[in-house]
Amino acid sequence: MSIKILLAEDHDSNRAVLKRRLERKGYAVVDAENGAVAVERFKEQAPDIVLLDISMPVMDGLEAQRIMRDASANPAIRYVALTAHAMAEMRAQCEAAGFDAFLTKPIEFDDLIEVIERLCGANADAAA
Amino acid sequence: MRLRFVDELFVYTVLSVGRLAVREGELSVFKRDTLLRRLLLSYSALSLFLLGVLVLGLWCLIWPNFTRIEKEESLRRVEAASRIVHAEAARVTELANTYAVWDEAYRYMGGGNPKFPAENFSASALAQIDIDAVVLQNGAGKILFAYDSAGGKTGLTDLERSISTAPGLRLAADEDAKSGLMIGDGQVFFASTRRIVHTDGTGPSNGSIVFLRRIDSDVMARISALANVELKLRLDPAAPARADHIRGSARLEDVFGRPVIRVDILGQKEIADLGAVSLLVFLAFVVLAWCGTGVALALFLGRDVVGPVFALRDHVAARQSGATSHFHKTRSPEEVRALAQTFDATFSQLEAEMARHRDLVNEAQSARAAAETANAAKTRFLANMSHELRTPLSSIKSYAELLRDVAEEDGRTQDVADVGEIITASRHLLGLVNSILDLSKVEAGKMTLDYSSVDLGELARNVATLVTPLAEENADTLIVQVADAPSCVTDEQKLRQCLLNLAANAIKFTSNGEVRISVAPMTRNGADWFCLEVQDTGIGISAEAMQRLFKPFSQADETTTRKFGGTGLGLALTKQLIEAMGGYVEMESVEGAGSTFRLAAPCAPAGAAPALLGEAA
Repeated sequence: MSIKILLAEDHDSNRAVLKRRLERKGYAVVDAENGAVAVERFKEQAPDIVLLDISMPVMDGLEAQRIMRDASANPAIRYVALTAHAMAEMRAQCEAAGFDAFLTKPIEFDDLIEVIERLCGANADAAA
Repeated sequence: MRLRFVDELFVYTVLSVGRLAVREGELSVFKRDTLLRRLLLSYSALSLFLLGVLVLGLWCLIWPNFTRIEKEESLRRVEAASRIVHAEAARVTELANTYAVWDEAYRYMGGGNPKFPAENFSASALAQIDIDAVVLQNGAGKILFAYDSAGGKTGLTDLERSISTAPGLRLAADEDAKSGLMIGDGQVFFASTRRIVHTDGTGPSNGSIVFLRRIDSDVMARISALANVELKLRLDPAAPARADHIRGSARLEDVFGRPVIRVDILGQKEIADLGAVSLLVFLAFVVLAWCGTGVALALFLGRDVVGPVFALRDHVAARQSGATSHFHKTRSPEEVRALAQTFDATFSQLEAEMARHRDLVNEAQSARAAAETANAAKTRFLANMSHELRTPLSSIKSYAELLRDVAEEDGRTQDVADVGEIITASRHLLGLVNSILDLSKVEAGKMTLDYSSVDLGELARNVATLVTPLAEENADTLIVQVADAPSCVTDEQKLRQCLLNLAANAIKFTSNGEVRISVAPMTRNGADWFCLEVQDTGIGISAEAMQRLFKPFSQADETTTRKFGGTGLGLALTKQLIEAMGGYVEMESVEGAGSTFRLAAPCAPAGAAPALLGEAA
């Protein structure tokens, strides 16, 4: 069964290209254009991993992640923060909030795949 | 209203002393090291010195004169008294002479006129010539006649007999007369003996006559009156004449030539005493005068020196506190007024200068504020622009990568290469934008460091791995040297960025050469530091270009940007980052022979927690 990814990103073309590239890699991708929509999709779709842009309109990534974590009893769900370039303080904030990984934008696609595989791939399952 | 001088002085003194006391919270200006005290102390010292000189002068020069005059005067009086005593004695001798060289006396002694003594030596006759006793002796020493006025009897008292027959008065064969003082039973006599001869001096002598005159208080009174001194006879001349009332003494010899009698001249030593009193009074006046002068000096100094100095101080204080003060209205001496004038001029100059300075500072401050505002705006603009540029750039790159993947799948190699160019260009552009963003963050002070324990050897090798493709492209040999690489607590990501910049730069400007990355520990100001060095054998940098090497947007040669690529921001950012970490970057270069860039920073951040350091170790 393929890994289901929830991708929350406010920039349309970035979201679209990322979704397409992930789908090309064989992942199931659900996308959302802000935190509020992402929370809705989260409840509907029960993803394995959530990629959250931190700065989004309507509801930001941190808030959305908190709601998701409260709403779901499944501890296997992984959260990855996508933030603007090199904000050290943001990184610490994300780690404190319980994100499993942290990537700075612009995202190198290979790095993203590596993170997803590490958190949700066959090896990760074996480790869990 | 003009006061009389003395009143004015008094009022001034009271006022000034009062002012001083109030001003200084102290009752006396003499307790402190004041101008007045100094002057008066100097004056006192000078006065004491002069007084000493004066006393010394009086003692050594004037006083001896008084004592000398006194002594001379005493001597003169003693001499006068002695002279008178001798004159008295001479008169007795003269009387004896008169009676001895007389034919009737001669005849009487030869046995003529037995009434002669009674006629001539009657009590009244002897009283007239003031003779107390008369003795007539013949040549054999037999007393033919004797008379003593004491009691008016004929015949001598034992005392008078003993004197008149004393060996001192006995005439030798060749002697005609003898006279002098004689003592007997505590009384003094003038005694005179004379050989009785014929009036014409012919024929043998016929015995001798002795006249005695007792020196009683009447005689002494007469002598005193004549000598104009008070006299006293003493029979023990050896006794010291110490009594204060004795001014001088003369020793008199008796007929035996023995010094048996002393004449003391009584009375105070008038001249010396008067002199001493005069000198003391004079000294007292001098001391009083000096004290008076001292007080007057204090008052004058208070009025004319200390007062004006305080007035000047008040004036200066007033000017300092910004109050208006007009010193020329005070009654101060010209010098102090001149000083005040000079001060006023200086103060005005200073005020003008300060006003100018204030204006300049204000100007500079506003200019600086404007510059800071402008710079902040620039930084904000750069940050915003970078952020806004990055999102679409990110999209371009992502889509290009997607296209490349698709082209690869479809086996369209030309498309893969073309899209690869888009990817390379967008990567470059992203790098540029990121550098601008980093730099603006550092400039805005918004850069935060993310400290962790870093293995510098691993970091160097990691960077080498990253730049290996570049080095291969330029046919450069890449060497990593790790000498006892210290483990440090620092911002790994930013340090890597710095080293990467330097390594990439070195390779970029070196072809068919060698690039060496080395790590070494160092010590600076007693603290542990690390040193990362990148050495190349590339084209080097001219001394002139080195000056602006670390400034943003300044590659050594502007043509290099076109020739070698690069943003021109790498070194500026490296410098800013390493300085944010508390370190520095430096370089050496020989144009055409290569360059060495060196990064150095502390192994632990300033004020790092010991736990963190322990972890690092």
